[in-house]
Amino acid sequence: MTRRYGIVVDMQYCLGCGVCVVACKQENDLPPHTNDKPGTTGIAWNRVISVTDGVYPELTNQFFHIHCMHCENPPCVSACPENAINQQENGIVLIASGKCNACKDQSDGVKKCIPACPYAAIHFNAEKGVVQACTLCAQRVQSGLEPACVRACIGKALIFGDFNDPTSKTSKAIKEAGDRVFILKPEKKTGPSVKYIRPDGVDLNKLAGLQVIK
Amino acid sequence: MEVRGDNNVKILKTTCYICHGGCILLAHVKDGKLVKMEGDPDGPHNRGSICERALAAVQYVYSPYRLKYPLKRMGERGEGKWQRISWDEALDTVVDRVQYYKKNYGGHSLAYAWGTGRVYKELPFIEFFGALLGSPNGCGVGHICLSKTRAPTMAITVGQLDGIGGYGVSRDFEYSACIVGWGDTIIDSRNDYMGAGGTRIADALRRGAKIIAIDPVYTKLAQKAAIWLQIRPGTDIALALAWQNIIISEGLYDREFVEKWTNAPFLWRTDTKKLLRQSDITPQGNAKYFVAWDTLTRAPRVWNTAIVSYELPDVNPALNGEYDVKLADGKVVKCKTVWQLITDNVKEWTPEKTSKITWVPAQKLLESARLYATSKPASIEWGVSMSHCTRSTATNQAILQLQAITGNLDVRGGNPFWMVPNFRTPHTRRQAPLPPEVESKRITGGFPFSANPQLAQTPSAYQPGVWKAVLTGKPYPIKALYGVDSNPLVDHENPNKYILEALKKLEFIVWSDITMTPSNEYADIILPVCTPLERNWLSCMFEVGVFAGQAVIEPMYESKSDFYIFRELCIRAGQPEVWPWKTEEEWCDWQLEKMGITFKEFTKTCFFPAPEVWKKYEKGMFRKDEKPGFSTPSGKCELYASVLENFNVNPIPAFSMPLQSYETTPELAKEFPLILITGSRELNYPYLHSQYHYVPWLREIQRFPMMLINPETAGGLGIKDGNWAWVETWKGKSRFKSYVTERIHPKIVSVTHGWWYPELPAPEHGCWESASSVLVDPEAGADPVTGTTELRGLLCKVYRADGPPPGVDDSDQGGA
Repeated sequence: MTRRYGIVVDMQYCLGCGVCVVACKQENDLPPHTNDKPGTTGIAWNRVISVTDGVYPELTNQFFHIHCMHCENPPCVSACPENAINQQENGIVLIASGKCNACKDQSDGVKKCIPACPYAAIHFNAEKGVVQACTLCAQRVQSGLEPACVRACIGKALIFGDFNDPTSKTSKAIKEAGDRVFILKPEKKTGPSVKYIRPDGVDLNKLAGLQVIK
Repeated sequence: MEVRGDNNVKILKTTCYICHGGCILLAHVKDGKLVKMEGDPDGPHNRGSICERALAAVQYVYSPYRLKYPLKRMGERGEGKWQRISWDEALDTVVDRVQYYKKNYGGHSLAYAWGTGRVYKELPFIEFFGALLGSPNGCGVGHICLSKTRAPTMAITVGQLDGIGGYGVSRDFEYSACIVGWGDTIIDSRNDYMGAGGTRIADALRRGAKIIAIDPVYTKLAQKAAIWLQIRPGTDIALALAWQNIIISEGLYDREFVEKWTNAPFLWRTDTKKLLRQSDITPQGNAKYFVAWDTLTRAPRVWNTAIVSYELPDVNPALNGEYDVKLADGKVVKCKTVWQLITDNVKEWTPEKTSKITWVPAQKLLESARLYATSKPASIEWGVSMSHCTRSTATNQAILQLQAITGNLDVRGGNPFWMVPNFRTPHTRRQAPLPPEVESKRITGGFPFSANPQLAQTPSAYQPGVWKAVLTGKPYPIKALYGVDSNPLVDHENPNKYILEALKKLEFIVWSDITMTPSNEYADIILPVCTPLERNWLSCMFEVGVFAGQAVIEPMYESKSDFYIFRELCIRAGQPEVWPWKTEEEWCDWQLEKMGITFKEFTKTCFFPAPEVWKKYEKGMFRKDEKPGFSTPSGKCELYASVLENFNVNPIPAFSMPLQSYETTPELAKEFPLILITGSRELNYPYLHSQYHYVPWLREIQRFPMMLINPETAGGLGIKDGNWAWVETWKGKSRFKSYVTERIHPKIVSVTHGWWYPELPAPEHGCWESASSVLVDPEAGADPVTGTTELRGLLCKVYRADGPPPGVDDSDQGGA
């Protein structure tokens, strides 16, 4: 059976600390670099978005850990004029840096995959002149390790596994969470491999701030 | 050592000490170079996780900001002209100068300053250093640290013994049914020290533990809490007394513990307002023995402190009530029990009254107190904010009393004390005493706990008093300073930049650190120190166990460990006996000797847990005589801190308002209508006080000093999210970048502390631009016992600034 690797975000235990972002930067050597001037901004393949609703002190807040969803139907793949984006057999969507030319031949100057992604998960690495996105730490996964963000997660809210394997941690978490499982932008029919478990008692329809996630 | 994969990458186990340590790391080293840092899944506290600081270790270790060589000042002080010198020249100069001042002006003319310990790791270095200098004037971070109040409060309430966690910091939330984060951003502070705070909070949530967050800001902990008490800054003492009132009046306290283990039954004289002593009722009575009222015989009964017991058998002491006691001179005085005194004291703190002071709804006060008192076990983790006020002793005491009366002291999952009995941890003044004539010269500011090394876990001179002594020559001149990993210009109260004036006036300054800082720019000699990842060390600071930090790479450039520096200084000063160990490993082996393990063996796990023994007071483990009880003057957990009678301070916590408030300083409030919090940890604060702003991955997380402000308030001031704004108090002003958020009360703003811009030119490095330190003033008022000052809960005004400080580029540089 083919594998379908992905991540389950158990939002109850996501503490919003953003450690996953630095873990990703370390693993994937993302800017800013050691010798860059402090305060220089670089790129991050993952983000944690904090969505606060209400008026002080009647507030609620949820954190959304977001990166490439490694979609079953990845819109970026067809958007790429250079066929630089491909889905591996294990579900991981990879951008071939050798093939990506950041759409320099496109007359409108738009890097086609970036607007095609409903999750704003593709980023232009100006330093390297290519677009990049979360690889689910393919190099680690190949060696039997979890992605760096999962390993570092302070709240152990990130769960990595094979959705096609009913005994995997991800499958078990999904099963246990029942109707608390949701995906972002289901209307896009992308079939994301990043799934979320909403905290008990939280009604996402009431989470007005959810629209900010794009 | 482990080798993984085929890249010749060695994986070395060590302990993190980029914040306060305690997370076990796997350092990936290739060809002698650190290439990656991971958390060790076997790390008992972090369990594979590490925070962003450790994840950015590569950028920290290989930072271009690292000091490479010893330096000597060439131009005017603070001019930034340095010459590279040899270690020999640097160390000989230091020894020469130190001995000159010691000989001509006495050891007390030398002050030494320390920070939070990345450089020297563990206080023994500092203690021994005091011995080397012969100076009582340690001018440490203790003044603004939680240790300043928490350790003495622990000492006066439960006592202090070697090897027992004197800070009460270490947590085992995984066993708690209820966790109270009191002014403590357990999550925002990440895995800070031993707690692996966030990891444990998440685990506690999994088990269904209930969280109570007490914070004016809707912190991440508040977001996960069952109850959030959005308290007005500086009014925590009222909240603590209200909880006591609810718990006592509703009978939710642990009666057995209170009766048996605390001094609640002791009689208190209503005439002298002091505890009744045996000497009061018997002519030859002992003034150290206390008295309780026996309900069976209806007579006073003596508590013999020496045998930690009542003198007669079968005493059934009254917990409540007022009794007529006949004194030795025949006079009859009314006495009430301490418990009655406390009950009467807290009675006025009804939920309604407390609500008016604290701004926490009365119903929430009731619910939270009941939840805390009825959850077993329940843990209170209380933050440094309780020490950042002029009511710090009373506040800490009241919070500690809550733990005591609910039976949560030294209980697994409550507020345990840890002890590693066989670890040599010479980190209190008691093991490295100075001669009494030197001790007596300590600058104390008149604050009893600054003077008393028996009470203060980190014996520190009264730090503002040391700077004042430099400036005024009173009580005597201070001539020279040894700075170790500290940045007082940025981190300490610094109204009108008076510490800068002090640094300029000092005749000689030597500073050891990892990078240049605004403070050490004023030194004469700079010693480059290696990071904790470049040397061997042990830590048992909060006693949850012993941690080993193994050198995973060689020291960079010419940097050396403080071990080397101290040893060399001692030898060159002709005092080799002060620091007899030849290598770091030898020093570590000496500390471990009685545990029967060598440092080398120890690095296989890097952690040796403290024995899991609880209610140690029942087992005689808190006292040198091994009798059950506590190591206080009475042998009891002293809800009434008898030590404070000597200092003319109320031995039970009393309420007072913040120095500045709408009620107490209404005129001031007209000009300064908002309440200021400094030291904000919101927005993922990746630093440790004034450290790491030069590490790019960390700086990217919080690029600028922030001010949290409510949208309503910001709107009224014409401030939009991202605008720079001035925050001004009666003392000074500074500018911060606005973060407009509902997560803060409309009347409160919260700013980051310890900010400087390493990328801006020397010597200031922009340290005056966004400085919360200049907004406060230690001379405005202080806690009568500890000398802590108002760093939060002050009044301020906010108005828009034209833009960022000069030279600061706050444009979004892109990156998708």
